[in-house]
Amino acid sequence: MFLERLTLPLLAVGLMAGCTASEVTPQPTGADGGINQPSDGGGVNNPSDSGVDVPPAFAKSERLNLRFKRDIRLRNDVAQTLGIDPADVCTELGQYHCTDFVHTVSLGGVEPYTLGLTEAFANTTVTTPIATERVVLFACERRADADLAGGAAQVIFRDLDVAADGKLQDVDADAVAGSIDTLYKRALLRPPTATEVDHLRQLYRDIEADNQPNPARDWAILSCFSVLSSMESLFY
Amino acid sequence: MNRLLFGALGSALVLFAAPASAKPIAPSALCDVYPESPACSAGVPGCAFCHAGTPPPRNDFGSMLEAQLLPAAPRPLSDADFRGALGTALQAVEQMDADGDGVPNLTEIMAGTMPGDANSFPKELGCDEGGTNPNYDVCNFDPKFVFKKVSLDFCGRSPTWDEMQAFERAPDAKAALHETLTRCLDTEFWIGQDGQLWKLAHNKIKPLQAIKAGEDSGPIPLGDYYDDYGLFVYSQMDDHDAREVLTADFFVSRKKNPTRYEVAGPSDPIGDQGVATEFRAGMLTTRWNLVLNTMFTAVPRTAAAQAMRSFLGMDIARLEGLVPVEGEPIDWDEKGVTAEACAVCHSTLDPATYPFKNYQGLTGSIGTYDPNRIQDDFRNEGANITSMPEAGVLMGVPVANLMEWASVAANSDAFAAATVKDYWKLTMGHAPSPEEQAEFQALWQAFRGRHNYGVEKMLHQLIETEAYGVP
Repeated sequence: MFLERLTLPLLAVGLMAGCTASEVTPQPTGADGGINQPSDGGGVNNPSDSGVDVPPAFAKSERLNLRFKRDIRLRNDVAQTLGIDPADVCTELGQYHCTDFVHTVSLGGVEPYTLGLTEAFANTTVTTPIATERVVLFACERRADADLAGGAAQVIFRDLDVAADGKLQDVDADAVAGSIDTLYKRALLRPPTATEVDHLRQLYRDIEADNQPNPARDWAILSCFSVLSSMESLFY
Repeated sequence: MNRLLFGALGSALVLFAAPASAKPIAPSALCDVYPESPACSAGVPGCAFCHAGTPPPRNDFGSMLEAQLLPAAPRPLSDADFRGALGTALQAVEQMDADGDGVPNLTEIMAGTMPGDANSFPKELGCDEGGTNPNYDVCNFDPKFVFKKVSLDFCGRSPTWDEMQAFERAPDAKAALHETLTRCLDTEFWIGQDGQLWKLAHNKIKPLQAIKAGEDSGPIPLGDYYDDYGLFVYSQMDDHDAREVLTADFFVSRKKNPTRYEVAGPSDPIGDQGVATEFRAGMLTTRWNLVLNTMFTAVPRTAAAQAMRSFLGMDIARLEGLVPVEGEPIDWDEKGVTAEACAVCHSTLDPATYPFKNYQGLTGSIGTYDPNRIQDDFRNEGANITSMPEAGVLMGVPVANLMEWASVAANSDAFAAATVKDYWKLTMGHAPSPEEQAEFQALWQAFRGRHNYGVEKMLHQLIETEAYGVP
C-alpha cells in the first residue's frame, strides 16, 4: 500500500534527482552536449531548439571515470549521512542485512566462500538500481520516523512544525530549508542550490495535493531518498 | 567439492585445447625487437597481440605481419627462421595502419595499444576549455576530489561535512591527503576480515568454505585458508616487503578487535601447516594452496599456473607469459602434452611446474614436502616419471627448487607490475589505460625501487598521480 502510494512521487523525484545530479557532475559541453544546467529549475534544455539563453555548460571530464560505491561504501555512507548504525541501515525480514548478505552481489560485492565469486562484476547489474533504492528507502524511512518523533536525537529533519493531520504547517519555513540544507551537506558535502531547495519544497506540495495521510513524513522520506539515490551520491 | 573438480578439469581442457600452428616464441621475439614497448615492460604480450582470439587465426595486424614474413618460404616457418625474419617484417609494417583506426602500427606498439584492434588506440587526454566547473577541477589535480576518493577507497566512507570543511582549511592539502591515507590504511575496511586487502587476495586463494578447516570450518575440513589471507595481508601492510607473499618461511597470526597481524609464534593458532621451514615459499606452500591446486596430480601444473596467474599477472590459459624452454615439454606423466597443439603452452608451463613436484596435495601426508612423493605415490603415472627433475625454468630462468622459483618470481618486473596493477584496478576501477601507462610504469618501478616493495609507500605515490587525482 505504501509503495503504491509512493509510485507517482517517486517518479517525480526521480526526474528531479536527475536534475540535481546534473548540476554538480561533469556534463558534456557545447550545442551537441545534450544536457545543460537548467536555469529555471525545470527539466532539460536543448540550446539548439529552445530559443532561450542558457548559462555556460560545465567543463567535462576527459577521464570519464565514475565509480559506483558498491555494497560496503554504500552502507557506510548511508549510515553516516543518516546517523544510523551500519548494522541497522537495511534488513530484510527484519534480520538479514541488505548490503552484507541479501543484496551483496547485486550491489557490486563478492561472495568468494560459497559461491566462488572472487571478483565483483565490473559493471552494475540489472538489479543494482532496485537493490540500491531498497537500501536507501529503508534507511530514509528509519531516519524520517526517528526525526519526526522529535527529541534530541533529530539528525536531519529538525524542528519541523507538523500539524496533527500530518501536514507541514509551512513548507516555506526556515526549518524546512534548514532540513534540506543539512541533508545536502551530510549526503553530498555541499549546500543545496536555491533550485534544489525549491524542488524539494515543491515535492512537498505535490505530496500534500495527493491527499494521503502524513504528507510530512512521506516528504521527509522522499526528500532523503531523492538525494541519497542521486548519481552524485551513489557514484564517485 | 564439485567446483574444485570442475575447476581443475576446466584448466586442463583449456591447456589441452591449445591450437596447432602457433608460435610460442613469438611474444618474446616481438619483445626482442621492441623492448621499450609497454607490452614488454613486465613480461611478454599475450597472443592476442597478433591473433584473433586463440591462434592460429590472426587479427589484422597479424595478417599484415605474416605477409611480410619470408613470403616465399614454405609454411610453417621454423622457429629460427621466424625469429630471424620477424624484425624485418615488423619494420616493413611499422608505418602502416593494420586495424584502420588512424594510428600507425609502430605508434600503437610503443603506446601499448593493440595494432590489430580498431577499438584500441592511444588517446590524448586534453582539457575541456568549453566551460567551467564549480565543483571539480577537471584539468588539474583536484585535492578536494582526491580527499573524498581517498576516504572512500581506503576508509570505506565519504568524509563528513565537518571533515571536508577542515580539509579545505588545511594549510597543506597534500599533507592532509597523506595523513588521511595513513589513517585509512589501518582501518578495518582496509585490513580487516573481508576488507579491501582480503578482496585482493580472493582470486589468489580461491577459498571454498565447504573444505575449510579451523575457524568457520566446513563439512570436509582440508585446509585453513585464513592462514593464506593472514600472510597476504601482512605482506601488504605497514610497508612490509610484499615479496613475502612468495618468499616467507613463516606464517601470520591474526588478532581481532581491532584486527592486527603478527608473525606467528609457536603458541599461535595457525592451521595445520606441514611444510618444514626450509621448504616454504610463502603462499605457494600453504596447506590450502597445495590441497586446492596440487590435489592428486603428479605434475601439479595447476599449482604453477595459478601461481603465475596470481602473482605474475600471467594467465597461461590465455596464452600469456609464454617463454618456451628448448626441449620441453617432456611429458613425464604421459598426458600427451608433446602434441603440437599442447606444446604451445606446456613448453613454458611444464618446466615451471617441476619445482612443485615434491609438495603433497591430497596424497600422502597432506600439505608436506616429501622428496619421495613421485616415487611413493605416482610411480605408475608414466614410464619415466620417477626421473622427473625438481629443477625447472621460470620466465627463462633456471631454478633448482620452489624456493628459487619464488625468489625469481618475487624479484621480477612481472611481480612488481602485477602487484601494483592489483591496486591500480582496486583504486581506479580499471586496468591501466594506454594513456595511463607512463604513470603506471613509473609506479611499479618505484615500488620495486625506492619503495623497497612497500605497498603503503607505493599507495602514497599512487594518490598523487594524475590518473587518480584529475577528475
